[in-house]
Amino acid sequence: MYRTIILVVCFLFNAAATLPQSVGGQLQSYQTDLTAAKTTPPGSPQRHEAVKHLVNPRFHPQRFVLFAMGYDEVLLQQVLGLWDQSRVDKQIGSTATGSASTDLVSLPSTPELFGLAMNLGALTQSVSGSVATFRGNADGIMRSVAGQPLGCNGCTATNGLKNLSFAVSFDLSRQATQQAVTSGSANSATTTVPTAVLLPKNSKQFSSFNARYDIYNPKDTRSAAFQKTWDKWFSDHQKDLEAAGEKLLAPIQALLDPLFKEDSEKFTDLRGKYATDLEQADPEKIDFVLNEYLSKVVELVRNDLPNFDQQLLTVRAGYATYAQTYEDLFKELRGKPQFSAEYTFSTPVNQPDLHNLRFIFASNPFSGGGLLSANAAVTLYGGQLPAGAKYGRLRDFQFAAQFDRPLGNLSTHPAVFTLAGYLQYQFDPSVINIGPGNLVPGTTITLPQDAQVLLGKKGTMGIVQAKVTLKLKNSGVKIPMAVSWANRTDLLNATDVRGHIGITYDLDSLFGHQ
Amino acid sequence: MACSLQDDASNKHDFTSPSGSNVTVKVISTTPNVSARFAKASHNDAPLPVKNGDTIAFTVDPGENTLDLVVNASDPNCNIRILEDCGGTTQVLDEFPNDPGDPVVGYSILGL
Repeated sequence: MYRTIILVVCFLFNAAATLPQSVGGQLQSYQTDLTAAKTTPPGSPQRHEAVKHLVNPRFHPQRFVLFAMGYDEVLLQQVLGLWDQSRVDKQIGSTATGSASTDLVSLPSTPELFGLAMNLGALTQSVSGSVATFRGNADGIMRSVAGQPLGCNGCTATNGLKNLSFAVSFDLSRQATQQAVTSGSANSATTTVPTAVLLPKNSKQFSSFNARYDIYNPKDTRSAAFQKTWDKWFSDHQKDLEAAGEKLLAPIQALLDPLFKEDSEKFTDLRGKYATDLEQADPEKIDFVLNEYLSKVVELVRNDLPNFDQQLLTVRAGYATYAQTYEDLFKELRGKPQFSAEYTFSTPVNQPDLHNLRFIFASNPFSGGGLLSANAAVTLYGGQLPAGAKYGRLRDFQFAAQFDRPLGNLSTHPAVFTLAGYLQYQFDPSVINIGPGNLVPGTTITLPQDAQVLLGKKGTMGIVQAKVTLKLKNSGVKIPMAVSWANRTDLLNATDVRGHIGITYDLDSLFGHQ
Repeated sequence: MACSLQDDASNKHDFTSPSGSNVTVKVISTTPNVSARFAKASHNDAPLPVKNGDTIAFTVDPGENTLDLVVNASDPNCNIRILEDCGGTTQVLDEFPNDPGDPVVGYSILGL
């Protein structure tokens, strides 16, 4: 298992190294064509095509506007960022069966880049923990390492991994001891010398590894389901898009027409000269030459338009209006169901390793006004069953459901209220591992070798949970606070009421979408 | 029918064309099973009707011409190809990765 994890991580970073690297500053939005120009020989037809895009302010004119405004951001990334922060369907922390989880139900989506979570408590387990979870999407990680935006344009190298995500959890509260033989008293006052003492030692803090595949997730803007929905949406909204397109083109034409009409001779001379220079330039000089050309074009436009700065803002407003039309599409997609499957390998404290297979379904039954999620899962014991084991390979079945309701505006809500229920049927009492050299719990008897005992009882475990998740505005940070009641835990037969708290970071907001 | 638009060797414009030429332009996606459409198109700032969602036509004026297109595609990661329909044959005018954050592409055409 550990080798597999290391191999997966190595594979991801190797693949990322093959993607083109980004450029910074005001030329950021020209990245695609700049990369194409720099990676093709001077004078080649491929360089010619890339340069044609670079010197034409009408080709994706927003990048010229951003250059003139001194920005290096792209509007789409802001729009996607807002959409991302409004979602309630992302699983970031560990799942219910992991120690210290605050979530009874696995949600259907995961971050497109990274998610980090720190949770305190436990739901199904008797022993509470403090677990840090690192969650990532294979495709998003490669884009990020290569400096590409998550709402990536023309990126096809990692399509096969876009539905695959993984998570690794570490239990920071795990402690272990080892027995050490003493070598006599250290002073005369110590008359009774113990023959052995228990010393703290490093323990394996790895708690679980989780891999997930989104089988059907129309909220993923790169999924086939999204494309199909988009097709119908385009036909239905063609007139709306045409009107929005007109409002987008009008300010662009007002900004750029003086270049192409009144000032055409000056501009075309400039364009022809710099296009030739860029076609012949060494790759390391292309940024400088393009920057010089665009600065001169900005000056030409500024001389022609007395309200140049205002016109730049008007163009950006046109883009925002057009993007808002697309936001309508996202609103429609909020009502579509999602379906995922995930596998979790976990190492509970003093218990055999576990393999858990979970199916996740989610739907928005109230026109996007909330998210209903349901899970069905099965857990198996890992490793070899010892000879004469009084328990079987199959540990339990689980069913769980949860409803998340945003409190306030659907897009800008400050908090989410959650109600969840969980049922688990366990086929045998729980198995406890006791290692050699340890004392049998509650006795002074030292065990000579590995031992296993059964604790608790087989049967049904039921848990209900109420949770409020606070969202820190525009930061990608969420703080889940929950209280749960259980009729029993995995080891103890008594009812159990617990509080849970955590903090999660969705780095999609912090890195990829801003 | 011969194609009207030619790459401008001087690099001062995107294309040149005899004035008075009737030009038909289409948009497709080169990515399989992805559709691309013109949401809006204009020639010299005058709106052009979009046929079947993917075809426009205009007549090249003498001197400077501008063609502005708003292109949308069902897959944000697809590649877009702009073609001239020359009547039985086509020629590729441009090809680029779709940019859903900036759906506008424009070209200058010198009418000779």
